[in-house]
Amino acid sequence: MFDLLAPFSIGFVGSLHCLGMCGPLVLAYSLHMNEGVHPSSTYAGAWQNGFWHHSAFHLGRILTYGLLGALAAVLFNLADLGRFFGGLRGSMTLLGGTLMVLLGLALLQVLPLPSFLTVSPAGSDSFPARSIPRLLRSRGIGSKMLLGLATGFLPCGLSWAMIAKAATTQNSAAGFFIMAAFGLGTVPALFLTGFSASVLSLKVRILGEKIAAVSVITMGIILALKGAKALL
Amino acid sequence: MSSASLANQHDRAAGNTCSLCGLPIGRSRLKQTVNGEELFFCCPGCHYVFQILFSDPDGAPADFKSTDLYRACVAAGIIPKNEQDLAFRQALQAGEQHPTARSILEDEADLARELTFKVDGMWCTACSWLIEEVIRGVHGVLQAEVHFLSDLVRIKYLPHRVNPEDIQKRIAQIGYSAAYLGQSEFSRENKQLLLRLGVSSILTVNIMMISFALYFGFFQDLGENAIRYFSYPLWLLATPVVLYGGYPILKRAVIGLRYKQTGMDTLIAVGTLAAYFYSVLRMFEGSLHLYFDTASMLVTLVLLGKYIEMHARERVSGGITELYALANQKVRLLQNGTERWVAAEAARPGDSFLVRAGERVSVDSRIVSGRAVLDQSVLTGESKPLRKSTGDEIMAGALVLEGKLQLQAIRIGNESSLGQMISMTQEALAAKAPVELLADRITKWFVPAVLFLAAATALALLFGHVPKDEALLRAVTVLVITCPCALGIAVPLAKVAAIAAGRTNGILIRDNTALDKAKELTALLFDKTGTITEGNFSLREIIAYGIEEREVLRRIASIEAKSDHFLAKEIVRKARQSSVALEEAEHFESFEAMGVKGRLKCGEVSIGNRQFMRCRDLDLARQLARHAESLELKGATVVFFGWNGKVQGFLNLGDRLRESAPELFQEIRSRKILTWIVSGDSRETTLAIAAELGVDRAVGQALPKQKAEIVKGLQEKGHRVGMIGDGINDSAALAQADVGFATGIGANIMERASGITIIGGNPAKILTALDLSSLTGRVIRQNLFFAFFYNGLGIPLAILGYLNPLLAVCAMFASSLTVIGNTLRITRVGKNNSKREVQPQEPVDATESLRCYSGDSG
Repeated sequence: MFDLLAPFSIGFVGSLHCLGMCGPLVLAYSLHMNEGVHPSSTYAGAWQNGFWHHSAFHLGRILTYGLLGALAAVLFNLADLGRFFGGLRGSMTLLGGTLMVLLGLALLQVLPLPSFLTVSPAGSDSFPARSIPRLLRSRGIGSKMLLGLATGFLPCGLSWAMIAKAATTQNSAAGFFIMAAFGLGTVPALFLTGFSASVLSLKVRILGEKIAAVSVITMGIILALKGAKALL
Repeated sequence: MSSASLANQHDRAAGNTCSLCGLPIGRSRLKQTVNGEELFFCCPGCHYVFQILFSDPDGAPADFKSTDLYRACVAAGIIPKNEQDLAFRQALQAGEQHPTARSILEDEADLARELTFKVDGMWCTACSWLIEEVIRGVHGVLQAEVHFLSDLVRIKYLPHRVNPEDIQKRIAQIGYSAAYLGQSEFSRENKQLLLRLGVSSILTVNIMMISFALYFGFFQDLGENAIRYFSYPLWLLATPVVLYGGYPILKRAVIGLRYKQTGMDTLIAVGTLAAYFYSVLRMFEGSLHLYFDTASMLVTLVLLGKYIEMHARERVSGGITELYALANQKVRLLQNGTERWVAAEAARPGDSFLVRAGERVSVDSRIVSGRAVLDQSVLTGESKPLRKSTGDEIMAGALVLEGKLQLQAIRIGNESSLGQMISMTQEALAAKAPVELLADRITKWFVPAVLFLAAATALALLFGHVPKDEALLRAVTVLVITCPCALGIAVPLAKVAAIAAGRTNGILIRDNTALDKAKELTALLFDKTGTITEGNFSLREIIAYGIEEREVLRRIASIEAKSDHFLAKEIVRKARQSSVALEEAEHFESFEAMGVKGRLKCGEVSIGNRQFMRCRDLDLARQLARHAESLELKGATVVFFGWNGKVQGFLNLGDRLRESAPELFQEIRSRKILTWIVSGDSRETTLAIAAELGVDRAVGQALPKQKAEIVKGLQEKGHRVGMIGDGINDSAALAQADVGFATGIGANIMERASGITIIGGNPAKILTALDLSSLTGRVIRQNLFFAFFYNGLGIPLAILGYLNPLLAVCAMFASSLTVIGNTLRITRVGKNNSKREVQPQEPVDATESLRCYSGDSG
């Protein structure tokens, strides 16, 4: 239980930062949901008739997270050499923990992200750049689900850190649920995009990001220590 | 500095924050160049999203800052206003502030300027006195009015003696922050309070948990020495609550002491600190009787109460702040064929501008071209869309639902309907009701009295050999239970709620006493034209014997072109429509409530009612008179015209009853209120309409003076009279009546001598106004009762020791909550019975055929 609470709360606090990144996405499809209405009044209107659309979007997103978590867990399990060499037991936990610490430090902007991650991810002619605008404009509820599924893949340090955490479980179900809990934690802030963005100041959002980063680092250190202990 | 160059500078400066989410970019090196502008991103995610959202699928990336999405994001606060943005806005604001401030400066002898600040951090009415006193003390300030509930400070000052920044600084010195309207406003205060409340409540919950466990002997088995260890965590938990959570309370209490003003903060601060420091002392003595729970609970509940009150205030005054928001809009100015966005204040009468569907018209204007469906519900409270086309006037604040309009500004700033509504509302808010003054005075003396009472209680109990603990506890209880926080908001909150609720319903309350009296009215007098009829006269036919229609229209319209009577306007409009060339009339004269005359090349022409024809010695043929009478009995309005010693014919001007009129009169009758119709129109027309509506009495052909006399007569008979009129020729009657209701749209709202104005003119709003009046009266009485009830009941119980501070805190909280909850009922007025009609109203038929009778076709 506690294992799920941590990713949930990291998701919750961290999503104050997500607001800046994913918020515009939410707003973008909200805009297309009721075309012809003045932008300033859009959110309230979209919120009323868009409950199911939002739900579909978030469901898709959580699903992607969960699948990524499960996948990472399986990959880690496959890559775990501890099975063959007793002396390496715990090495994957150590690796996951270390990754989390590094990503957490990157989130805190103590470390720069490695350059291969910061290369321009998508040209304007890449597949997502071509297909996502279409999804945004579509009014169907299924397209929101697809959009959510795609959003889950967006490069985000926080979700990577959580995927690393999920990976260390080496259990696809556990990985799935950890990532789902994380995704669920990010829902409130995004669900109430219009509302929360106006209430939360920049400071609060930065604070949320920092708290999430510190939590990630703490979790990473604990995991790394655990792994190191098993290794020694 | 022009806004364009500011904008550029602003864009260039925004280099160290993420272009999407606004967070600092830190060590990220992601950037992209769009339209020659360098954009930076804090993480690949933001970059990715940006590329997806703001790149045009069909080709080159569009200017993303002009997309709807970007605007929506900024409006929702997702793309935040970063530091540069803030500076940019301030610069804009400063640029905008000065011209308006200057425009007030009309009178040369009086160099004073007015200035409105929004003040953050006011906790109670005592804060507003303090600020008022302190600003008044500033050299160069003539007048200062602080409105606690709307957080506004209106200052009249001499610009050559003191500048606004100094006044702002002075306010900051005493612990509040002042900003120009539309700047930081509510949110910052709100967030800080929320954070304090959050921290305090989490810690308090823990304190309560441990304390309860201790009270109920949960740890008894551990022995006294072990239990003592629980004191330290309690102390540790309570300290941030008292010092961080309670900081604003303590700060204001200290500032209050320095300025010899005591308020509810003083009471809370004394109570909290007494409980806290006493407990600290006892803790080091090793006692188990500690009151950290009391101290932290007190702070937390006070913060919670404040938080709720702040939200109630915001909700209650929503209708008023909406007005400011409407007035702070931009217009798309059309200059030499190019469009340019400027602040609404920068527009001048005569400027033309464009408004598209989904946008609001921000200044009073006339349609130059185009037609549109408009929603004026923000102003009138009626959701029925209206159709308007070329030549029609539009009030600032109307929302264009469909169509595109080119408009010409006719009134701007303080003269526009919106400006007038704002100053009227401010006037109403500024005036303090007698009850309110009393409550203020009581609060002022209450606090020292309570402090004295608490001290006396403690002393008396100590001499009465009550244990120290107990004496202190009871004194704190007395302090808390008598805290007049509910009393401070009981009346003003209700007043603001009523004014705001009226405003959202299209009822503008200018005078609080009018609102107060409206519930006691026993007779309502209605003017006919424009009140119970639509006031949109259309010239249906011209009845003349032996003269050509165009010639008749030419002569009449030439005279009427000089008159500003509403019937005249319709006649001239009709003449223009039939492209009749008018000539210049000479010796024009207007006779009040009778008619007009003037000289044309062909001779003297008189236009007016029967009486006027008689005065002018014009002979009215019997056949013509009979024909006119038969039309009048159907409710039409008839205007005669004549020359050469003879009435030549008459005009049949039709007006329609308002849709809501029959229902309205039925409802008024069921309330046992006497109804009268008093009209300047002919007796026959008035009676016909009165009979149709079932009005108690009707008087036609009444001069403005007579209307006032009728009101006076009714008053002498013991009636409390409400007069409903358009305010132009009823001003004497409106002023004479106990409550004057003016109906009308557009210009000169301020000139109307009425306590209550019904924007949009639907007389059915009278009922809403009456309901609002009686509800407000009830709520104020109930609020005062609740506020006094808890205090009155609590004091003796507290002295006798039946209450503990915790209960007292809860009682105080309950009293505030009751008052707030009760007041919120007012905001719901008019919401239950407003049916939403989506069907657009049919425009009045302007192309009605103009028939002409010649010969003997009577």
